[in-house]
Amino acid sequence: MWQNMLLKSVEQGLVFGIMALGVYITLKILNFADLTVDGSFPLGAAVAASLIISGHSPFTATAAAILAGALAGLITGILNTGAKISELLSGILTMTSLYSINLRIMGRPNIPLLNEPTIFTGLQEFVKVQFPGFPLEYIYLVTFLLFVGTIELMLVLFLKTQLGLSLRATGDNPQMIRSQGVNTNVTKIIGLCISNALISLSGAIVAQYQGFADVGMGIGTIIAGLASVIIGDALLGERSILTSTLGVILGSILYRFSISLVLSFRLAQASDLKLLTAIVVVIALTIPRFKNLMRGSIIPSERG
Amino acid sequence: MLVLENISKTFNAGTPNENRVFEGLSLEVNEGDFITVIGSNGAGKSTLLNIIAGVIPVDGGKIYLDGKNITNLPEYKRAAFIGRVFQDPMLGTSPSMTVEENLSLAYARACNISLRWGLTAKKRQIFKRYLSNISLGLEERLSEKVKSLSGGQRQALTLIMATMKKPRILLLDEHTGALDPKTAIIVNDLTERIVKEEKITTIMVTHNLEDAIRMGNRLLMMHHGKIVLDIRGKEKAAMTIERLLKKFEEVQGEKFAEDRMMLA
Repeated sequence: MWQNMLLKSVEQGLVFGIMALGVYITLKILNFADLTVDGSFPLGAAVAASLIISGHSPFTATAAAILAGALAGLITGILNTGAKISELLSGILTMTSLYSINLRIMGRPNIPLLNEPTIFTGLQEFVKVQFPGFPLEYIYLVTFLLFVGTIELMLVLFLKTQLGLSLRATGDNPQMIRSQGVNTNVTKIIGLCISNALISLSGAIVAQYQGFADVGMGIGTIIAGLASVIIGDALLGERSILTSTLGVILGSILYRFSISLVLSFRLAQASDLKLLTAIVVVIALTIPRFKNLMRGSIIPSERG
Repeated sequence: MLVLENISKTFNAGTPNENRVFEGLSLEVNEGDFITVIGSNGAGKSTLLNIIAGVIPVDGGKIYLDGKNITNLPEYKRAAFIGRVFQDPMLGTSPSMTVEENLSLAYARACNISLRWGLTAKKRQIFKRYLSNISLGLEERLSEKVKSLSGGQRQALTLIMATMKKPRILLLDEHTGALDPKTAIIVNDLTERIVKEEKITTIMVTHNLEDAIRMGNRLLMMHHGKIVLDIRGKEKAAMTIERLLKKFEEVQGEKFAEDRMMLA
């Protein structure tokens, strides 16, 4: 049972890790508190699920989910940079409108995908034929590892391009990067698009992995993402982009594991999860300060 | 080459805090000028630079660079031909990025929205050459984060970033004002050397009268949003602090008062 719980937590941690990477882009790279997340995550699930049940290929459906997420990020970005609405409110506005939009897309609050083809259909057959003798219970784990690893690597490489550097400078010192000829409105919007595209992709994969899309599945996503980013930060620090993105994924896995631990001990029921998550985030946020106090340090942490 | 024509600017217009900074200010900067700007607090020195850089929009008047009207060009577009160094060493660099990453952003100035690699072996070589020129040992610290540098090192780095891709005009806003005297001398020397070697048209705001007189070929004194003295050439070369203060009294009919101004 333990082994199974561990396996499931790692699998979930990896899939939700894609979402956490999206949160990392806005929160850590752009220094933009984006709340679109709670809407763009179920948006990905909604788009993918409705396209799949209407007969489209699950791969097309997943690609469409990525585009939809980018569009959600674009809208938040335009609200903030164009209409000059504050970061928080821009995200909240998009998130709230997405609740209605997601219901429109799905046509009902819940779409089961149990008997539908997904991106994982045929995976078992494929592995059985190509890699005979491979332990089938680890199929998802290995697939997710490869997939999330690829996404992380692409993100790291992107952040090393000239555009990636500009994005990082936008979050770090917007005045400086403007004086180097970069329109920070554009970099903000690009960052928001990439972030929400990843979050939406995560939603699309989660829906296919758990076998349904639900209009309420986005509630608290931002907090889970936040928890992953913060746990990762506490574990690996901010030495480089590679280590901090690895930290985010590791944080996501650890977060899922602690949640299932709490549930398996019957310390709480599933409906208590959001509260538990919030408590985890509060603890993770206060530990660094607590550590400083213990060390007798009077130096305050760098960012607020 | 740079012409400011009849510039007017009022902050907080129509409120009790209304502050009319410029009313019909005009200035012509010639190719190769190295202008030092002095003046009391609130004279409009920083506002002047911010208006040229496009950080602050003007209420009236026009700005021309090389004959082209740039009055409505946004800041990030003007950055293609304007280099800037600020007073606060924190403002000119990105603290949590490395020295070489910062340089890379300056090296690709105005071409930063691209998917080319930010850092290559070739670029690192170029950056090393630039940094070894200033003998602050920064060439050995390319992959360190900028926040680990001292204020003087950051200003030197910002100066290199502002001039690496030769700007049409360099704007220095009291860029040694926050440094200790020794470091200020190093950064000032570096400034003079770069401006001379690259023949960059420069406007430098300073609170140090001695620097203002010693450096550059032209000196502007501002007072209440007006350019009250414009001293050039031989007259500038023969200028002393006493003569300058006397001249100010002659023009303004009042003593030059400035608590922050350093007379020596």
